[in-house]
Amino acid sequence: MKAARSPAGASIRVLGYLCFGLCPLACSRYWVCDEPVETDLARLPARLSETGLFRAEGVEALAAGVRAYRPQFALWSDGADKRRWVLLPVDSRIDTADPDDWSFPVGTKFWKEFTRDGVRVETRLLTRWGTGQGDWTGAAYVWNEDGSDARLTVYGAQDARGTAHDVPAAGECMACHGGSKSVILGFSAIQLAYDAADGGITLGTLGAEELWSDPITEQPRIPGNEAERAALGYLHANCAHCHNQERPSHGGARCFDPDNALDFRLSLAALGSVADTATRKTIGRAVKPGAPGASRLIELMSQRGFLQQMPPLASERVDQDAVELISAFVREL
Amino acid sequence: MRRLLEGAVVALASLYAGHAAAEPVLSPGDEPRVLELDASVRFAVAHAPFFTEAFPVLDAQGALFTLAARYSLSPKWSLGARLPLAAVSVRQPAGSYLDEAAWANPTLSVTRWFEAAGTARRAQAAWLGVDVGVPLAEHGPAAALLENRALEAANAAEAYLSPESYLPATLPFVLRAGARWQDAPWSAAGELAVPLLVRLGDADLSADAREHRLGLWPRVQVSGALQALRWLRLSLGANTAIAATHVVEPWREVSRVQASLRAGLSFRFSKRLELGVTFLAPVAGALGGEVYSGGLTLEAQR
Repeated sequence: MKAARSPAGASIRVLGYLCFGLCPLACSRYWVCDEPVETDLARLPARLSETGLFRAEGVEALAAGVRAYRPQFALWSDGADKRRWVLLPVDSRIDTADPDDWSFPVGTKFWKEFTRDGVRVETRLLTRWGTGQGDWTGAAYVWNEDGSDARLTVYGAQDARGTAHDVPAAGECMACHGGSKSVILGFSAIQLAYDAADGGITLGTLGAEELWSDPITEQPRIPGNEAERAALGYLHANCAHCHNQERPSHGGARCFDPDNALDFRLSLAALGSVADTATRKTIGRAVKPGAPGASRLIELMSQRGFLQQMPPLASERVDQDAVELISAFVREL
Repeated sequence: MRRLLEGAVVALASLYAGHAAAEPVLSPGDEPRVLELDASVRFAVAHAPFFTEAFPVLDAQGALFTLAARYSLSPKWSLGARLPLAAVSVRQPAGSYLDEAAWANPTLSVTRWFEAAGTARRAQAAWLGVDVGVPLAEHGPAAALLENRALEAANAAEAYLSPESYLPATLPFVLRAGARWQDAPWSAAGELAVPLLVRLGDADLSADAREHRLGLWPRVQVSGALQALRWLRLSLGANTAIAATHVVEPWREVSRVQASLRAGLSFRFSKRLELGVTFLAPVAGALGGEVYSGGLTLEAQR
């Protein structure tokens, strides 16, 4: 953690950077991220049961005000089952002045739980603690063997709880979430624009409960036929957090800030037709229309390995259904 | 991008440096009071075992800097010192990397030379040596073990031929014995080294790490060389390191025997200046196919 480093350690790091600077690849080492800031992490409790997700008596019943939700297009997590919750501060509203990048009130908390092969492995927390755009802190909590609680795991864990699931380090949260001004990726007008049968929060719920500042009166509809909508949605959920042209600027390491013109983000202002979407306008750089087998996008989705895969983070298993979905989309371009 | 990376790795590997850590550089019979300095940088990509449940393996890429000095007290005795620094990007669980740098244990050595009668063209020599490490290698922080992981990546990059340098909180003693034969333009050398590693602390490892008070990690290195031209020497070496006893057991069961091959070129610019380019590849064992390192050594003498 940054604040824990000694001056001697810092000087050694300078030597390290000097070394990497000699490498011609150094300037484009997008896979390197910064360490998390210790003072930010100090805001997080040591145990999940202390984060406000559950009622005091256990780790199953949700605390008052905590609401479940589900994005209509999910991020691929190597087949893990996921549950998600949000807690908005009492009497607060989401600032939806920018319909694509909502700004959440200070004190908002989002949780996401991962279960792999039947084992509840981790629950991630992202919380906003200040009014600045980057005033968010996130980390993962790894569940105990007996499931009685989960403990803060700042530097993550490999193959956690005997599964093939890797728990990310806190410093990796912003590799994905830092690519959006909103920071939150799965809770947006696009992602909540559906009718939930499970009672989770949707766009309709937000409107009915007046939880937003600027009503989104028309339900966003992804253009195209069913297959096209699914493909555009998948690319939005799995690629757009890095590949978009509205990324907030930041200091430090590049940390998965791509240096290209690809844009897979769905914007409410550009949903008139498939041709209007940023995805359709820029995807030609990564695909050969009509030829998925010759398309770089499909190649990267279909394999795993350092610098050989997309998405580059948090996945060790190919999403075969998605490869077929996007291949079909490319074939029809 | 993949081709670019592969090209870069090959280019870096072709720059590889670093004679094997224990290979004596001073020749027997050197004039007294000769000081020899060498600086090496080795670039490496490593996937290697590690010690804790949270981090059972490590993936890293980066550079290993080593400064070494040898001083010839007499034709029979020489002193040496060596200080490595690992500057490594360590992979985090989700796949991003974090830059980390850590000092390894400095080592001090004494070598006694035994030279048989010979000619300038034909010569044989043997040596006995003792190395003592100073347990200053960095480690921690406990939650991340970034410094431990950076040093273990360096250990793997050297195919476990210098564990005395890269194990934190460990006091190392190394006994060395070797011999060299020369019949110009050919030469060959071999060395047996036995590092005894005394664990002094937990090096910030979590309680689940399986530690032992003593470690024993003997190694054998053999090499042959051809002085192809007055300014060019080609060399090929084979090494085996055996973790008879680990000071910390890898979390996952792996082979205790690590073989490696080393190929090198040395360019002599003058009587006092030499540039070495070497490539080291572990074969079989825990690291076979998972670690590649290469770099450059500049050696000066006065």
